[in-house]
Amino acid sequence: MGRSNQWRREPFIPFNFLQNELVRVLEDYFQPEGRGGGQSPPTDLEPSGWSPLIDVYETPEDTIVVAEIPGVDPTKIELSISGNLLILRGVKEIGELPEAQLQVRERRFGTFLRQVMVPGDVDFDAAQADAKNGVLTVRMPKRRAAQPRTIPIRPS
Amino acid sequence: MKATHPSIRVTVGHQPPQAAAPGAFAEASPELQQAFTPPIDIHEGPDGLTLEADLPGATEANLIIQLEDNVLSLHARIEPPAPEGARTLHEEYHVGDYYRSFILSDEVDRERITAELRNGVLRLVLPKADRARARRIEIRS
Repeated sequence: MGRSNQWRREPFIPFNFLQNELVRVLEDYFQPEGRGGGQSPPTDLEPSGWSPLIDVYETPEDTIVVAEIPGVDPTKIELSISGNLLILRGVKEIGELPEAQLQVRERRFGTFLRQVMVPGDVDFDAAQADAKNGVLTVRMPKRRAAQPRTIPIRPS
Repeated sequence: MKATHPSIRVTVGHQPPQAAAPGAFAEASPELQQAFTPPIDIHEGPDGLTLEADLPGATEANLIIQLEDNVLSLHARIEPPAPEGARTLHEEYHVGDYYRSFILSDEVDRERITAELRNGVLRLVLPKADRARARRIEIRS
């Protein structure tokens, strides 16, 4: 197996970013209603900007991180790993239509940096990422030792 | 954001347009209760309007754009991204359908509306009908 994959070790995470993530975790704890009207996903780069919402799933074989990235060029997303953190960077660019013609603006744009703690013992080197229809899916197989197994009992 | 002088108008609603189109969506409304309202942008240029909506997970197969009388509606049925039986470890958004409707003014040329879906963003181009476009009248000498 070649070593050419998109993963890169993250040397440094800005402190205010971690702080923002902590604030978000606390907000989630106190207001656990999910996708709310005034909820703003965290970003340390542009406080008024946009950053993707993330769900994490688990199957017996894989841990799956799913991010909503409508309008983000998938080729410009940077995925990296730091310890057990999966880090997502990218930009949702404003379209080419002139601002002067704007009548309604509800969509938000900007650079984003998100990190998610990937629980369990996963094999990042065997991870597969796929972006289509504005949804990024990162599938990370669990290491064999972390997969559930049944242990047969030999009859005596 | 308010438009100063929109020459063609799209009325943006967050609810299924029961008031605007009585009965038209009644049969579909129970399942629409769970739908999310996607955020949109509208630009107005000299030739018409461009409407963009963030619809992550929407595909050409599961997105229905309907024009009934003057109500343009979009409805996307979103498939769960995780395999069946997967356990949720962390949830910031719920997977669900999208629904939104708009009231078009008469100046939109209904025959020439086009739609394009790219990276989870729907772009609807609503051209002005010829008679609504600004026209220069030549003065014959």
